[in-house]
Amino acid sequence: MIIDLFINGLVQGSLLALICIGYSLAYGTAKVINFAHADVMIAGGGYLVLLWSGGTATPEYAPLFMSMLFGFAAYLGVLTWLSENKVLQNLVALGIGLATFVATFVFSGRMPFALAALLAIPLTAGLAVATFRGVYLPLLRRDAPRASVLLAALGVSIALESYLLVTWGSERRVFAANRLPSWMNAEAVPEGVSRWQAACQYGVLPLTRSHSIPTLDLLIVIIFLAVVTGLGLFFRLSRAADAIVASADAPMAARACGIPVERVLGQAFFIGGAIASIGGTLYVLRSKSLDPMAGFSPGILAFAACVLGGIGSLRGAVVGAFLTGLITSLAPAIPLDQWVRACLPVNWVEFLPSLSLSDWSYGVVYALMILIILFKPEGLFKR
Amino acid sequence: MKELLSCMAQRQRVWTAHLLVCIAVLAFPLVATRGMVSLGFVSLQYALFALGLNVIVGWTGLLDLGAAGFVAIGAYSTAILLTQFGLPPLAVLPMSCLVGFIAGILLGLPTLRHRLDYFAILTLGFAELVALGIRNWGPITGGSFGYSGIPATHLPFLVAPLRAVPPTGFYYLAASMVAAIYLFVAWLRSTSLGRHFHVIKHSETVGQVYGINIYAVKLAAFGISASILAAGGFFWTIYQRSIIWTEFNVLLSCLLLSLLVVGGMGNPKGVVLGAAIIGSLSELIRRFLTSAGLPQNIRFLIFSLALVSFILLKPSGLVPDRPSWLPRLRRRLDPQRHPVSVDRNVSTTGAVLEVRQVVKSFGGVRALDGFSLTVEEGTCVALIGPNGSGKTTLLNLINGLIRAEGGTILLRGKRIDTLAPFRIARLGIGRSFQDLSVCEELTAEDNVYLTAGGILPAQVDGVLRQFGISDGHVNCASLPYGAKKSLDLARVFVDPTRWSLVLLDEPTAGLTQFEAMDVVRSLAALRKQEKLSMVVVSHDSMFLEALGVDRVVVIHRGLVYKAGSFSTIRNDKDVQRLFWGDNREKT
Repeated sequence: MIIDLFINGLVQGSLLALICIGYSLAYGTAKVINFAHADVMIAGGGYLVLLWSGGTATPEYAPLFMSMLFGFAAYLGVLTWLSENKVLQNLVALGIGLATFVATFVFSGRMPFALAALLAIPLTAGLAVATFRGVYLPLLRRDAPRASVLLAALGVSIALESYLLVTWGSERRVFAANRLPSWMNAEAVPEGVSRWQAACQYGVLPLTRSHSIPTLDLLIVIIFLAVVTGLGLFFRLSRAADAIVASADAPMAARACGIPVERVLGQAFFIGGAIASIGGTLYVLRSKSLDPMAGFSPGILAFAACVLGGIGSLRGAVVGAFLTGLITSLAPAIPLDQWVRACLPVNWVEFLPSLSLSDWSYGVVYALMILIILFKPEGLFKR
Repeated sequence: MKELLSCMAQRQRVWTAHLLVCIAVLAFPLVATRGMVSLGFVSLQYALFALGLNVIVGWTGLLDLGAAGFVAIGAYSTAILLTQFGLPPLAVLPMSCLVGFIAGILLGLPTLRHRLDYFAILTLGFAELVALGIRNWGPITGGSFGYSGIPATHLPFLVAPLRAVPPTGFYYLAASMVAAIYLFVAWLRSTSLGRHFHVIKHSETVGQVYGINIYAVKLAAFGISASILAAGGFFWTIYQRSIIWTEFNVLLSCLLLSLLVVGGMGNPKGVVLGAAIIGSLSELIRRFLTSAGLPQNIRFLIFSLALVSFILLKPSGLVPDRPSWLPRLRRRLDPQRHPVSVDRNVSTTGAVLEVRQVVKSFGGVRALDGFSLTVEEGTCVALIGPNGSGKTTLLNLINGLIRAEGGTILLRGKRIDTLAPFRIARLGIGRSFQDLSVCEELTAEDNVYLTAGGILPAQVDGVLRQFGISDGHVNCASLPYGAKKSLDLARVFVDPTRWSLVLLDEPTAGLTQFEAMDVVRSLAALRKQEKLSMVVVSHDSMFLEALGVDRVVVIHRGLVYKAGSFSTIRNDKDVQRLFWGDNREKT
């Protein structure tokens, strides 16, 4: 029981870490608490579902709305990666934006899963860049007060969430299980099946006699490890990463050295968005449904995780995410209510709030986050 | 005379405008349809929220993302007091305000020490915890199904309870509450507490060196804001008569913040206007969406987009805030009512300031390495040294803005290096800043009023003229660089009796020679007149000579390199080498 919860915690931690990295990148570079990040992630999940249409009914105006959103995202995203020639740059970006719009609209619901997932990654990253270029960058240029930047971030988050809700409707859209490949559906494994077969056909990899891990969860952990390794190598080896670090630490000096700081910051958002899109895809697949409202609570949870680890630090983001995943997963197993009931007289217990920690799972993380900020505001790892 | 007449005419206009608004608000339910009255009620309720949130977000500039939490606390405490204890509504109102106030103080005590980003997150987390707590505390709050069965509102002298359709009674109740709160916050802003809110929004450092206990001021703002939000929650409960925890979510906090941003952050008139516009719009859209069968989320899409576009395109909102402390302060800041007691005549001899062996390092760099300095009563000590030699660090240490790792600092024999910055300032250490630290959106005059204790208008005019600012009404943003720096000095010296020691950090840096000479003349006159002790940091030897400094201390690598009279230091070969290098000696 505890071991299963522990494994579940690790998987949740991997998923959260994929969101946290984007939060940390945004805070480390543009000094923005990017509340909209988790909604970008869910938008990515929504885009994938739209293109692939995994057996869910799509509202009739969803293709149009999503195509508009992602056409715009593609336009701004491309603009960030292109070089200085203004007119050409705009024309090319506009072309790609329009192409994305048309393609999304035409191909919605007709793409194979793999292609849809591959397309969703750069486009979600483009959406992250769009929030940066459209909202944060003008505020940073103007040297706006920090309160305005935070408020704008909250506004963007709620706008995006409402947009998705209007597009998809507020109910959860569950996938038809038969549209998913068999290794994604965890089923009961019959006796005498080899491990490999169990993993491929029944979607469960037996670890010991009594414990097993769903193949999809295993894949999530592997993808997370691959992303983190890749990101670590990127920051250790590449010049582009040096430019990001320079632009984050000393924007003026970086500009003086010829680094196009605004574009580099946009690229940091792009990377964060791309990783969030992978996270969003996995999140949607794991919950086997699309829930437009889902962005907010993992968003705050991921945020709490970042603060736990030390906001702005990548290592902190990953550690914080795993701690948070484990806490949310393991906390319900602590029988706090039984302990309290055992200690207090019966007629007191009636007036107590529910102490079953499964009711408080997010609350425990918030409370922990608040305690960390109060007593160790730099988090567990300093940037 | 002409000025006086135009001032009176303006006042009359203002009064007429206020009166017209009052009549319009009072007469509205008489001419409006039922639907319109409930629109009006919603707007008034939002106005209450906006006025409350404005105290913390608009005035002290702290981003409170937990407004929904306080509204929930007010709403649920009202519900519980009305239903469980059967108290009359008019008794419940102050009680729920009090509950809100206490909640605000309790949340503020640990969180207000933290910087802006963390404060925002902490309040957001708080609101989420409040919502979760309400959901999970079933026996008291009704749990996840919400709280219903709240009795109808009976008011004294009225036979029937207030009706929800049309809510004319609620409308008048809320209108009188909004009027009372509006008058309260308008009064609050003209008090010194209101001025201190603005100082904190502008710069906490400036507030501290002028003796403002910024923590206490922020706490007061937060408590007041929370209690007004809780009052809004009271109206929520008595009107709806059944409440549910899911309504008090981050969307509500965001909606309330958009009232401020659209209306004009900081301006009570503006935020009430914002509440009227957004409140009625929100209600209209809600009705339209309900009748058309469309999802309600379009509402929040519209508000969040309005919020973002106002921040991007019109950050000051529809009615920008133009704070001024002039009219009321002329009466309020009478020095006889606010005597500032700095006893400068304790002794006329001996050391006013003693710095003994202070050590301070930043990372691996020793900025001060056992530095000592003594300032005799009534003297002026100049502190010179190459860039990065620790001059400003020393001033910040004396002010208490940063803490030393070792050594002691004594003011007239009393140890001050362990005190909070505002206490050090209250003991009589004044400070001017190297960088521009004046408040750009205020007039020159208001900048001086902002940090002053008890002063007379004549003093303000006098000090502004003395430092070469001829027109005090001019907006600070339009002043040239030199005038802004002089204004910083004027702010320090408007009431020299406050200080026993003044620290001046590069008072002439960036000034032209003429401007610098003006500053010297004023400072020299002030020194002679007030017998002030001063520590001046400057590179400008002409300035130091003209000021007639008594002693020059050369600081280098965090230590005293040389000390002596101005002429000895000027002719000292080592000091020359330190500043100009060896080349000069050879030529």
